[in-house]
Amino acid sequence: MTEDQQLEEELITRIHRGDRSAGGILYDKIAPALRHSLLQLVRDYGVANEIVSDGFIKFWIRRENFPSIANIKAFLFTVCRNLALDYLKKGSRKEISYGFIDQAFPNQAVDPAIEAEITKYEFYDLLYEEINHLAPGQKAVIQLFLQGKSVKDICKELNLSEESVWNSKFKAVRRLRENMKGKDLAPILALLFL
Amino acid sequence: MQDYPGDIFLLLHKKAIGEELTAEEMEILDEWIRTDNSIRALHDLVNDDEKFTTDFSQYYIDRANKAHGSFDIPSETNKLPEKRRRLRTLTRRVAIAASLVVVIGSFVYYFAAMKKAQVDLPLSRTQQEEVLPAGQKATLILGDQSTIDLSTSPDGEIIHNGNSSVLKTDGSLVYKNGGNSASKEAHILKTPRGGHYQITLNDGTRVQLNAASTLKFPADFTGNQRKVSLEGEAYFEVAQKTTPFIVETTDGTVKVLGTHFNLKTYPEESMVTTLLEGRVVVSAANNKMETILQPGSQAIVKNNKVTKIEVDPTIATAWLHGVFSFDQVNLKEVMSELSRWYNVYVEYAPGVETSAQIAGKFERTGKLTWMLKRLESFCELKFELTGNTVYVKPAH
Repeated sequence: MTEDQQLEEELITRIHRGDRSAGGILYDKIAPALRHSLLQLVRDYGVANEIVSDGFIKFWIRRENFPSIANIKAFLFTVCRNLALDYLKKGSRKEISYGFIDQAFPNQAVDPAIEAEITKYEFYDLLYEEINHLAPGQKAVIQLFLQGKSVKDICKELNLSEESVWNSKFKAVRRLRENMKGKDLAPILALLFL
Repeated sequence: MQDYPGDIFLLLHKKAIGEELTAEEMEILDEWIRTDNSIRALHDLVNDDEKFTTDFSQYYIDRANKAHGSFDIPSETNKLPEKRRRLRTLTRRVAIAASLVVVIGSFVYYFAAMKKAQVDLPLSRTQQEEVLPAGQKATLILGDQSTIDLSTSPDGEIIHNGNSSVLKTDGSLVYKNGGNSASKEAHILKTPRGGHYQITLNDGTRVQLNAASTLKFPADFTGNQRKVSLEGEAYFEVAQKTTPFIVETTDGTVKVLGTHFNLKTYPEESMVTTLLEGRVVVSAANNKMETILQPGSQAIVKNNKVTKIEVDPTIATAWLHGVFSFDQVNLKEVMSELSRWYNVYVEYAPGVETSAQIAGKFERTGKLTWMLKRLESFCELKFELTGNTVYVKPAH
């Protein structure tokens, strides 16, 4: 059992027991991906955030039904997307119906489109973690790039020369590539930063 | 619901790394992009570096900034209505896992080697680390003491000897004999703890073997009786023949012509024969005492004595249908049933009354933790699973 698997196992056990702080940990882990995915539909951060909260409450009520974090993820993505579609149809948060979801999961197989979405965010998660594990200097540069800052702005903010900013970025990307392993991944990273 | 063929991800991948696509491949890809939103979104994402960077940046910033929300659980939702508690069956979980494998499996083309580690993670969690119910596992021991591990050997003919053959297909063995080359060899089919298996004997008799059970039988039945021996639990559907079919156990024997019955005879437990169809004669090992059973009755051999009671035969055969059915069974027997099926060991804390009676039906196709949770809700006990040992403690 890897360390990650052990952590996940522990987390799901605590969730089954009704440990709220475990629910919080899971929320921190999944909510950003859910929000981000919902934003493509509802285009309003507040609404997306509310839908995510509703989805989590639905999950929490039936938390004992989920044998794994993967199942919970699939459930949350399904529920939240349905809530978002409902929202778009009715145009108002208040009228969202909650009835449908009792039949939606976990008895049914997961919609491949949802799986595609989840897989995308698993990739994002991994990349996120890798960025967090970069050396502090490299991480700062990458973060500022991701915030859409120009090289000039980054130089100013970090008090670095343009050359060392490029240098840090180059090293960071190389590091990310190595850590993500596997040649086939390269095109994605190529798209990302170069 | 749409299932994606793996090729589509391969095509997307090829295009993303700038490989030339053939006209035909282009057509296929374009068709998908036109008709499927997910594929279109993915295609757009990987073929537009700006889009990818923007999309990921958005995600990164939101995630890095935790101030946006938190998980606030209203306390009333913390209580779970009893009717909502439900065990998921293994088949359901396998179906979901399979659907994950199909989709994520195809994505591997695209998200590459890094995905492998990621994909293995959630899936193996449910399949290896959980204590899962028994699977189709058994060992066949031949007359010359050579053994065949049936959980690993491929399907097909595993023994061929003259006219007789043994065929293995999907969790069951079939003995066939076409002629006179009768082999009197004694074979042994043995299920481990956490395994079950099915066999069709040479005379057409079907036997389903529960966990931790051993069936000894001749490769071919000859002479004026069909004799096998059993330790553990098995359900017999004995083929009608003029020669009697006899099951020997350490406690006694069951003699039949052609019927359906369940025989449970684990060490340290009574020998219990439950008849569903036909007629059987049960006798204790060192006693002339015999009992004739009618359908719906049960013979219990204990301390060399045979007693007969009327029962609901479906309780004894519930295991065949994926259910543990206990009708006032003591805790110790319930736990040994679980320990055989899940291949775990049981230890009792002081103060636990192992003779306490338990009644109820439980799915045996779910993982152990769920089963234990169900039991906890029924009786005043606490079950703690550490490794492969279940500690039974008083609830208070």
